[in-house]
Order: sequence, then structure tokens, then C-alpha cells
Amino acid sequence: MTIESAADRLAFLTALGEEKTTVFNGTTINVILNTEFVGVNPINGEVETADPELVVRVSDVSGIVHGDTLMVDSETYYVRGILKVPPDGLFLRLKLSKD
Amino acid sequence: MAYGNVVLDGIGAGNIVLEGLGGLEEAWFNVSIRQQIMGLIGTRLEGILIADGYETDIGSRVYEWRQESIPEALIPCLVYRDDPEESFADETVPRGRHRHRLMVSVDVVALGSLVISTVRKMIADVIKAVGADTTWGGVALNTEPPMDEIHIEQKERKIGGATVKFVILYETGRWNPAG
Repeated sequence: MTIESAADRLAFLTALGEEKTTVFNGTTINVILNTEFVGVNPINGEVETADPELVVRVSDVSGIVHGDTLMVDSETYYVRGILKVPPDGLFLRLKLSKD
Repeated sequence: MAYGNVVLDGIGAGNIVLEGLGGLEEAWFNVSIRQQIMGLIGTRLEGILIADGYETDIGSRVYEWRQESIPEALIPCLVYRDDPEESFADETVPRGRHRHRLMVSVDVVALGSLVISTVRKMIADVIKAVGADTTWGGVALNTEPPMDEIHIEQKERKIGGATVKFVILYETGRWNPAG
């Protein structure tokens, strides 16, 4: 017995109050944009930056690969990481970069 | 005893000018040679500007020993500091003198899609600036050729940095950092 449906997963994306939309393969999809503050160390000191990622349904981004572009909040991002969210892998976390 | 105005002749320039009744008189200020050298390095690095023949304008944002994290709004920038110094007095050093090997690190930071080539240009600019006068106006004996290392990180932006290290040789009197 399936305990959640695609509609349930869509509700998850739209119910948190942080939902955004983007367009993939010509279709508008719902996403959650998380932008974590992080520090990186390309030198001895720390440089402040952000580590944005999108949470999406796998079914919405079939065939997505590194280097694909997505526009969120008028910003164009490159996909630089694709991680399945455990335990069932029905959502993806897409790591994003502007460069 | 003469009284007059004291004019500091630049950071670490090592002298002051006494504007007394008898005119200008220069006197040595009790500043360590190391401090003089670090001041001269800062001034030299601030001169890295495209208008002055360099590939970048990294000299427009120079920090000495910046400990606070660097926001993206302050990139590109440069941070320099004096690393460990070794002092010795062996048979190669004149009697009554100490010789010092001062290691200096210069960090450069850039971001964007062209970050790698930009960082290489910054490295080249730092090397060019240091090499413009390896005795730092005669304050040091010499500056040894540099070494450098690049690191690139990618989060929201590609952020790259490099550290250029070089060693400055200078002498002082025995147990006398200022002369």
C-alpha cells in the first residue's frame, strides 16, 4: 500500500511557506529554496558565502544533470550537485551555483 | 632642547621630521626594522593597480592581518601578514649583527566564473610588485623568490584564493630590532 502520492509530495513543497517555482523542460514546478550561510576557506581566512539548494520532486526534474540551469527569484543558477533525499529518494536536493 | 611639530613620514618609514626653529631636521624613530618592512609591503601592495601597469586592481582593497571573515562585497581583496620569523647569528653574519628571515604571506581572493584566471593574474601582480625592489628601499638585504598555492571553492559563487609566500632577509644589531 502506498502511503504517499505525488500529490502528497507536491503538498509538502507548497505547504511550508517558502515555496518557489522554477521552470524545467518548459514546465513550471514547485520547489523549496534553502540558502544556508556558510564560510569557505580559499585562503587562511574565512570568506562568507551562501550554499543554496533546491528541494524538488524527482518526477519533476527527470533527466536533470550537472550544468543544467534553473531560474529562481530572477536569479539563474547552475546545478552543481544532485543528491537523493533518503530514505525513499523521491525528492532531490539540487546544489546550486551562480557561476 | 628643541621643540617642534612631529610629522610621521608614512607607516613604517622609519623616520620622523622635526619641524623646529632651525628648519627641517630628520631623526630616526625607534621603529623595528620588521615594522618598517611590513609598512613598506603594505604600501607596495596598495600600488597594484591597472593604471600603474598591473593586470588587476587588487591594490585597491588591501588588509593587514584581517581576522574578520570576508563578505562577498569586499572581494576582490588582498590580505597580508608576517608569518614566523627566524633570527640567527652564524659565521655568515657580520660580528655584532643578527640576520632575520621574515616570512610574509599575501592572500588574494576573487570570485566569479573567471576566478581561476583572475587569481593567477593577482599572483603575477603580487610577484611583480614584490620584485620591483627586493631590498625594500635598502631596509632589507634581499627577498627570496616566492612560492604560491591556489585554492578554489564553489558554493553559491566560485570563490578562489591564493597565498603567495616570500622570505625577506634583513639584518639588525644584536638584540636590537630597530637598528
